[in-house]
Amino acid sequence: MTRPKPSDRALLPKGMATLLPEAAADRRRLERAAVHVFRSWGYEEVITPLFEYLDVIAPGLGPGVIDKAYTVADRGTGRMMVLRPDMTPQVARMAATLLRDAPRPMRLCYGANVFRYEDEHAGHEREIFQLGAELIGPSHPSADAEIVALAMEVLHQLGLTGAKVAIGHVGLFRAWLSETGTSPERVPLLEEAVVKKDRTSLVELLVQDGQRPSDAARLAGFLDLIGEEDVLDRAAEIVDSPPAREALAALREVIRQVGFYGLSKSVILDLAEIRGREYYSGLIFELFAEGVGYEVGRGGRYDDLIGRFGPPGPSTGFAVHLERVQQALNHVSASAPYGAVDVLLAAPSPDRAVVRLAAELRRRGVRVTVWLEETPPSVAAEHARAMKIPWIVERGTTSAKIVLTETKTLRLRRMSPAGVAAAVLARRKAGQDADRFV
Amino acid sequence: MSRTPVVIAFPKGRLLDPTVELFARVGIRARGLTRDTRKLLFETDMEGVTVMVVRAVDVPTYVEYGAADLGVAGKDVLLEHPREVYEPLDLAYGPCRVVWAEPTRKIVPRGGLRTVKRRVATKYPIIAERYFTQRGLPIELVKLSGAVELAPRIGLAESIVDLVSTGKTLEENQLTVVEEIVRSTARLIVNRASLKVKYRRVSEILERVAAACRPSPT
Repeated sequence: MTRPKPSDRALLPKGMATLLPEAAADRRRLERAAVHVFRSWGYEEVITPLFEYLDVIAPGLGPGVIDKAYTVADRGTGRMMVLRPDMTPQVARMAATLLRDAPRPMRLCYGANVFRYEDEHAGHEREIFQLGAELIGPSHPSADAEIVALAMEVLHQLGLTGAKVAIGHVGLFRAWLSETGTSPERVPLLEEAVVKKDRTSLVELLVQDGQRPSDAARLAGFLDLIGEEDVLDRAAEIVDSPPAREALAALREVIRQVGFYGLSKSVILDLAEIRGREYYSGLIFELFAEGVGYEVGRGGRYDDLIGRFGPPGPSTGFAVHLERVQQALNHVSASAPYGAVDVLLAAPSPDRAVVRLAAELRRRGVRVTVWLEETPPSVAAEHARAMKIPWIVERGTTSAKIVLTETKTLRLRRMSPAGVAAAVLARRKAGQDADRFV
Repeated sequence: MSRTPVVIAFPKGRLLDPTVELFARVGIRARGLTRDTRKLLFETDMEGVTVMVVRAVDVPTYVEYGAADLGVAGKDVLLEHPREVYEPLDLAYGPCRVVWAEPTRKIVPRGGLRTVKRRVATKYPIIAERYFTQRGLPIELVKLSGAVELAPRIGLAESIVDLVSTGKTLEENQLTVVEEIVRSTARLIVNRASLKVKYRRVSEILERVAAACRPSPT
């Protein structure tokens, strides 16, 4: 192996996040807003390990996800570890072990990064920041409705008011599969055709499986099950078995209840959408926002996942992909003006009074940095302008009053520290939306 | 109130004429779109619908990202450049095949014990690799951008995997089809988010196009 020349060597592993101050502030603001919604719905935050033993977490990961996980050997034991590629299996394991005796229903939420070795394109990143919630215990449709509504509320609060949720059901797809009578080794081929809504290939496959052309065409009608609630009636004509009827009844009930949250207009049914279903076993959904060509989040019911780590239990949940949410937000609106600091406190030499003044302003909610260079005031003003700091404060010659200068106009006012704080905060509140969520 | 904007990506090349003609029939006539225009974006007769003309292999990319809501792409392109898009409509035009071909005089009876690694020249490395590796045939791929049929004659490769419409080029180069790998036609493809977020608009266009190509022209 030849070592790459220094000039060819990448500075960063491909796809890992680096956020500079403004982007980091934006990220945290969205995160806090989401966590605020979670808390107000009674969801409690948990933090999970960044690494896991592969053999321990593997039962909870879909095969597609295991292939994409970054692995490392544990230096102590030599056991294989993974950098967490998904949060839900970790939360499920927590529910099955540490929290197995905690009262149900249990509502948990998280905000964390996960890692997947992906070919980066169209929203697939290697480091993904997920914000999610899990409702563990109840198996009735009202739990699914709550999770769908919570996911939509998070998107609304983050600023994506035009978001849509596309709902499907894994049980219905399974019922349809058994209706086709296809053999297990051909299921992936059928799945691929269904995922692409590729009718030509699907009919061909069904005919190869021994279906008469007319039956193949009828079964391929599964691909048309997209639209509003009448889709459920049409579905019943294509698959009619006890599990299918059960899935359709569950869907009908969830959709009725999602209506209670005022979301009827935001719901679309797509019963042939089964992409990324991994551990999901019942209702599944994807969240879409205008301006982003792929889903900004997904969720669903996973009644068989917790049982892979301990005593089984039903559960439902979702996660949104924060990077994609930011892309959607860039599409709907210009971001609020960014300002990290309100006041530059200029003092030629530090003394007790300067430190106290800074402390007092901070206590009153003003964001202050101290300028301690021995330079003429014009240089401090230059720095304030470069850093987009709207105000400069200097100590006046008389004791109680200080001098407040507006960086943009260089207009001076003499006032008390309390007066400065009030003026600065009032302007910040009026001028920007950025702290809306804090 | 203006209607939700919709962008449709048309492929340059052999699929362009039938695509323009099909969409004109459903009321989406791209104004000023002629063969030699250098424009890439066109308003249409349907309010809010824009047509863009891009390289055929790029259509799935535009649609996957949502830069275009809909597009037209050959099945061969979709297999060679796999993208997460829906392909709900087979438009039936632009038929062609991706085949495995070898020099006519060299073809050995199938079922022989030939296990020598083949060199395969192709513009379709993904389709070719998938085909041969699924059959356990050892190959070395030689990726070319054109004039693939020449490769066996000058000793660059023993086999080729290439697109065939009439079969005339193969014949002229003394090549014979060993096996057909893919049968391709043009497909209407749709972005996953567009189908949900712009459901009414996109499904209306889908239905019109489906109706227009239902009595199959072939």
